[in-house]
Amino acid sequence: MTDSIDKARVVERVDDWVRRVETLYTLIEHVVANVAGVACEKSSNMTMHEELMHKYGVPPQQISILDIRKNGKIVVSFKPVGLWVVGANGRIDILMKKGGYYLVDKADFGQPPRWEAFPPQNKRAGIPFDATFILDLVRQA
Amino acid sequence: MSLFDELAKQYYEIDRQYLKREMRARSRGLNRCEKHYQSRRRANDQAYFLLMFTRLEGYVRQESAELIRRMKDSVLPWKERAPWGILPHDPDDEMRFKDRLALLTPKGETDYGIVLAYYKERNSIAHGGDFISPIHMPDVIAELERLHMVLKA
Repeated sequence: MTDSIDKARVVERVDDWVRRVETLYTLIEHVVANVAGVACEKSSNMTMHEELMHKYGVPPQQISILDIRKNGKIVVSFKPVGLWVVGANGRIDILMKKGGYYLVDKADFGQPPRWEAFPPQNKRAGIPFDATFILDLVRQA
Repeated sequence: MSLFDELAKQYYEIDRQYLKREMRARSRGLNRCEKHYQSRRRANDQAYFLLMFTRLEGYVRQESAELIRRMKDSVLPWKERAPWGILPHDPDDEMRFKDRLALLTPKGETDYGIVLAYYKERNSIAHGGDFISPIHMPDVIAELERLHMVLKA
């Protein structure tokens, strides 16, 4: 919603998004830390410069991509797509060789994140993104 | 089968293929190729969003025209029936989309706001622009299906 939005509010939302993404990456790193042959790596950055940032003169923000490597090869990548997403409070794409998932935060701004993964199929319900899901992703990859 | 099932199926088939190719390019360090598929996926989002929304748009035109026709022909007292008489009763007649929508759902309420937000995205794409916001397609498809059920003449 763009009601009563100003530059400070946009900056606040962007900072919150960067924090949520980083917290998510920390969770993933923690979950796979003890899996043999698996390592996480923040290898490159995406540039975030969304419509509202343009509109209110907020400079572009770098946001990292997280790769999971298995036996040295990238098998899963987490790529942030956007914060102001119709139907969610931010979207990250999970790329895998067999396809992937759309990972979205279904919580409202200011609430604890509620990450849910949606496969690229016509499915209504998301899958909670938790330790079990992460371990399953790595196992499938 | 809903109005959007076939399009949704096609959308996901294409996105799955591009997702795989984007991943293959990333795992091989082919940056340009990765960006190419990322951009293809965005174009696919836009194309299918537009296709699906225009189906809802057509449906809103038909339902609003049906409502106008029904009210024109109703047995209401003349004073209540007269305003309907000046509205166009054919789905292809000139009438602003927002006005047609306001006949089916109260202005300012949630459903009106959702359709209007989609309409802004649709206009942005149709006029050569990009999404105002990225779209989470599973939600959009579910919402379009729900709106198709609730927006009735």
